[in-house]
Amino acid sequence: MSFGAEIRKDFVLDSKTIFVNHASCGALPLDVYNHRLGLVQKMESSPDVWFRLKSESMWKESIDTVAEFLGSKPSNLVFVKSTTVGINAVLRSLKLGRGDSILISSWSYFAVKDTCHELERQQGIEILYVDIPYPLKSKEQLLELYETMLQKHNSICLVLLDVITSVPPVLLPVKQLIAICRKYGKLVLVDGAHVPGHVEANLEDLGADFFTGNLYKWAYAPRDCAVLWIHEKFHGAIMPPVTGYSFYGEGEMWKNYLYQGHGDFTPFYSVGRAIDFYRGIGGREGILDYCSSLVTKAADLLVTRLRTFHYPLPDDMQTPLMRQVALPKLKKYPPVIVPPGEVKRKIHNMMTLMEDILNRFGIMCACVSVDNRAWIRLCASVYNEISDYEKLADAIATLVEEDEEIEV
Amino acid sequence: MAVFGRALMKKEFMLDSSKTFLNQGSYGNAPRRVIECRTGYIRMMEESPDDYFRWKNEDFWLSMVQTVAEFIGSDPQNVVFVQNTTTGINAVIRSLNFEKGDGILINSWTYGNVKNICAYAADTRHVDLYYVDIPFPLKSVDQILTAYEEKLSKHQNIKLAIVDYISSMPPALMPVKEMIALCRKYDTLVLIDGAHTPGQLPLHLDQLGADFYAGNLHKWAFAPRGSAVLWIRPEFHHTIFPVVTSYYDKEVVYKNFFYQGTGDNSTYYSTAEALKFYQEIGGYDKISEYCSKLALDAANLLVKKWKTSLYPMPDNMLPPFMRLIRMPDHKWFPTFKTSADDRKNFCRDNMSLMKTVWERFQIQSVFISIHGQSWCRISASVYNEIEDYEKLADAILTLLDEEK
Repeated sequence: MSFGAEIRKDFVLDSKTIFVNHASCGALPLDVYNHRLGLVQKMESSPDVWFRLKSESMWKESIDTVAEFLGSKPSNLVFVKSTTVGINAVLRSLKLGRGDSILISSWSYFAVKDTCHELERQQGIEILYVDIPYPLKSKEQLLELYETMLQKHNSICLVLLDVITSVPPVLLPVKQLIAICRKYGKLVLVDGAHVPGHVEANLEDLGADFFTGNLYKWAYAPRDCAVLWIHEKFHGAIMPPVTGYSFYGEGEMWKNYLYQGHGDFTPFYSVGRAIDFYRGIGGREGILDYCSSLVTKAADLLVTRLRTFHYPLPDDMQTPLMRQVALPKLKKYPPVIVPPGEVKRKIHNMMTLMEDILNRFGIMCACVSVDNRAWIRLCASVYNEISDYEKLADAIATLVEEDEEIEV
Repeated sequence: MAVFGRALMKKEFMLDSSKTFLNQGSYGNAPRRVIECRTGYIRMMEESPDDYFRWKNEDFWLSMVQTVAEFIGSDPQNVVFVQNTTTGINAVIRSLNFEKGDGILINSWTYGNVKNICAYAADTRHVDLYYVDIPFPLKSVDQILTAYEEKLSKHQNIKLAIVDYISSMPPALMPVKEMIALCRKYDTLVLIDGAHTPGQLPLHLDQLGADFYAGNLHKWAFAPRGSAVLWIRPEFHHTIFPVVTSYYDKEVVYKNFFYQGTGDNSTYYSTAEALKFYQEIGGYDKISEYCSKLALDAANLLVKKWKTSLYPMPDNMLPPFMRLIRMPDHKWFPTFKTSADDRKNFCRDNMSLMKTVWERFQIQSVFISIHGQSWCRISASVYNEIEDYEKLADAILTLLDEEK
């Protein structure tokens, strides 16, 4: 399989820009894009037939396909538009209130934090944080932090765990964390936004109560395509955020998620095509073989060129396809200084810097501020090549030069 | 100005023009140019997703809200987009602070999804649910108003009433202004289910007097499916949050609804194109003139050919573009025994009849059981003509003949 520039033209991505941020928004293959539009055409040519006669079988067929892809029983799996929706569905359905706590971490995704604080406001649930130190020395250190929190706070009902965090990009020891949660009798909701297509998934063996992950990131599905896995014992309890079809206890669980008022669900029904594409280009092995070594090289290249350093992480906690590299200190683009102990707004996007790099150099990369420093969060996908990162290094070097001219 | 009827269908719509579509009311149908406009946004989103989500998205949203707000007679600040009316209603109910013993008032004609939302709220938040059972046959609007006054005065704990503007089944134009006045009298919040109204009725939401309104643009205003508005009275701007929290802003209401992760808002961004089409083919006056007359003529035709009658309701409650007509008695296809008492199953689709009529005659229409009787709901849209309903009439008569 020819990756890099060769496969680039098989994506909808604009040819004028260099994209090294697959993690945020994914990238859609032309084949899947066209397939999805074909479904839209069918839907528009005969909507009653589509919605009344075809929807259920298309849903079931697509669920079967993605269940097999993720090592899940089809009956435990439903489609949702995104991981954020999946998380909202679970948290809003569990009848938590005053006296109950949810445990998240300083590395939890911002939408997860916002959802939790919204529930804190609405329902009086206490939100507790594992404050992850900088630098994190080892897996064991992390496991101990969780053990301490769970020992200390009996009020914790549910723990929300990431498999792979977004910023910083870290592969967490999720099975061991789940074991600790189980030891203390806590419910576990796994935020697997980055899992499908990136790391191996075997949802039936995970040991969680709930899992949610995006298909439109690393598994090449169109936007608005994700899954929510619900352990059988909760099938009657977890309702989607939009009640349409039924309320709990009635009918089959999956119908609650299919019938949420009218809309375009063709992204769900395109998932088979996306998985075919994924497998066609080499599947997880083939993709990781190319991309993992590329992102490692890319990160090393930037560290060398910019004379900075990698985000400090234990080796066994590096993700396959993402890295974070320190940016040189730039007067024009200062990081956000966060007071110690502040966990809610620890992570910030550096929008101006990202916009400038895009507009001036035609490169789309994620620049973030965390732990009081500015960083680039790099991704490597099948359409990337080492020259993409060389150009990025050149761009940053230019900014550094210009920055030296700036008087403080 | 475009000519209405099948010529318009062929020219502008993606519907298979060899077939007959009498159900704009259920799923809506957007013209090809609107679907293409939407595809353009999807393409833009996929060509440079970061750029789209981080820098373009919000401008598109604000500009579209401006356009749509004008169409529905509202200040833009009161309007957010939601996927559909069901979602909008969920947002309001989930956001309102109900205390144990507070009541929600609906009626037997309330849309199925809304009944479910309320049942869920009743079950999980200890809200009391109240029904007005609308009599069958309905002789006058006053019967509804009297029933509402009775319920509201007897149960002062009713905090919220959900009122259809045009109900789905049976399709009826409700006395919305009088119902709002009654609710005001008894200090009850009003949420208008206006699913069918954008495009079918002229709207002046800022003057309507309601607290909340949700309505679909993808039914009668020709937007792509997954495109609706939620209107929120200013004093509730900081109370109503979307059902999914992605971004949490206590100050600016639209930001919470706008920022729903990297979700596809392209349906919302195509609404300007839809409204442009709406105006181009004649706007409310011409569309209403054509479709209202067609609905009237179609209903008369079917009643005559089938020797049946319209759903019994006062004339001033007939919705502009829809009618519900009694089916001739038939044995072959089952009707379901439901009644107003059976609140959950008040009306049920007759799926096997729908399937047969589609497969044999290539006609899409809605066949339904209410009050243990069999009915057909027709919609009259800009791409329909009287011949469509002749085909429907004949199709059913053919099936009846075969039944003998």
